[in-house]
Amino acid sequence: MKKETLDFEVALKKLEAIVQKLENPEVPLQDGFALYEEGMKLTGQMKKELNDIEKKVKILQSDAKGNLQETDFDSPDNE
Amino acid sequence: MGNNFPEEKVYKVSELTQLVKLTLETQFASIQVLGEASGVVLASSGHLYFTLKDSAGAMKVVMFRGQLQKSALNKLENGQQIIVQGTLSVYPLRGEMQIIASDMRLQGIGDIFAALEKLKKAYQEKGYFDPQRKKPLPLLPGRIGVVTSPTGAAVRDIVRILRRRFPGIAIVIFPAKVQGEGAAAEIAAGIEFFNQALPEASVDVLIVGRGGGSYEDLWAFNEAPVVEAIFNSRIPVISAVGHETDFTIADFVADLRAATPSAAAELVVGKKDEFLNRIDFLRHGLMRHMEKRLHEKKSTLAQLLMDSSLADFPGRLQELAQRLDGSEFALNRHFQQSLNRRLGQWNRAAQRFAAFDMSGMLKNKGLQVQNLGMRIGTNFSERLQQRCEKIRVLDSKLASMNPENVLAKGYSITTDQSQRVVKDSSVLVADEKISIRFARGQTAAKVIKE
Repeated sequence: MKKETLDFEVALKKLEAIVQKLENPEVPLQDGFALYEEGMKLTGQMKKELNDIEKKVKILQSDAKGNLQETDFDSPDNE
Repeated sequence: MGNNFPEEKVYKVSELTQLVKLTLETQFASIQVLGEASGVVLASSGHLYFTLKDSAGAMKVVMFRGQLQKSALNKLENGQQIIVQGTLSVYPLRGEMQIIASDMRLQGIGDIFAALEKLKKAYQEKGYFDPQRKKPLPLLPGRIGVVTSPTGAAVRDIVRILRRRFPGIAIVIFPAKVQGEGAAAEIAAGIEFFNQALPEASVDVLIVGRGGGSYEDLWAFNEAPVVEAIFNSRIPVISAVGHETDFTIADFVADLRAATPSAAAELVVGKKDEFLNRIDFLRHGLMRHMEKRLHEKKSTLAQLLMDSSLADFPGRLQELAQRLDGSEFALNRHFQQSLNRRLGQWNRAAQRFAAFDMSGMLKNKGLQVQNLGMRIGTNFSERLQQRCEKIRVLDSKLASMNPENVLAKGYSITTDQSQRVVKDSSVLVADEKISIRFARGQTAAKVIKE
């Protein structure tokens, strides 16, 4: 979970760099095409990641052994 | 009944009030009184009037302009618990007892402010508030940790706003007591818990806070355990304590201070829609640049095909062939040699052109275009083929004019001793030595004249 989101930030930076590179007319067409493909793949993955997030609000509670466990947090706004 | 008074002095009202006034002012020259301010009126004269009361008593207070300007508290609101310092007196015109205030301060606040300032200075000197220590917040936190009371308004506000901005985002609440005995330890434990959690239980950002309250209520956020826990947290911490006007040490040491718990929720994650828009924007940028790029390459290819060195080549061959036609009947050795030389050149050129590395060319200039199924690639190769075909035709045409080929058909070339081609037998004389060149080899001969 954590790793994915760190990747999101990295991916966004990468994507911005790709668009910037592609803007540069000096970049050969082959490289440009590779950049384009990579960029399109990234945007697809990133959108999917954003749309796939479906998590619940959790609250930490002590279990019988005194360890903290995550349980669903019931809040009137937590639909 | 009247007998009870005879020898007693009879005062005039003003005498008595003056006497009481003097007595009180002497007896209670400098007193401090605690109570709640009410009926606060600031007269146009600049003097402040109010009533100080508690559950069982009330007393008028006046603070003259000069004192008010010098007072620790110079803006008084109804309901504030204050300590008034002054002299107990009487307002003779009404015979009312009143305090003439020389100073006033909020109850407890003087101590709290002084303590807070001292703490703030101490932590500042230790470098706890250094801007370069502040950790950046993650762009999109995978999980958000919240250390606060599980029953307060703060937790509801945070959860509501987070879910509105980013439906489905993971929130983990560490329930902590946020005021009173042991609150600081619980808040600190929450911050430490998230910092020590296993990666899968960890969070990317922490909101630590509570809703509004009195300065005493917020005090836990000034205590060392909380301050140290925030300072030592490797996870970025947003402090969200009380209202906009409340400041605690936690606010200064945190990586970011939010004015309220709601504001913290706004700060911690961008809107999902905005993320999606940004990605779409970049996606369109990619497509736009790629289209532009392909368009440019297409133009370059067209230019290349138009380029004179390529486009004029068949034209120049034709021209040469025409010139050859014109000279066909006037072949001599010189001409032949120079022709051969030119032929050689053109043959080589034609060979070069025929052997022109089309795949390499396409690789360099248009391979990707082909990959994209662009028709231009096909056009190019067709046109190249057409040109090669033309060149081959011209080439064979030229070859047929080669004198060697004429010899191959059985003709021969006769030259005299000065190597001139003999075109007229009348120029020859008997016994003249001549040379006959065949398709293969040549021979010397003598003219026999009959």
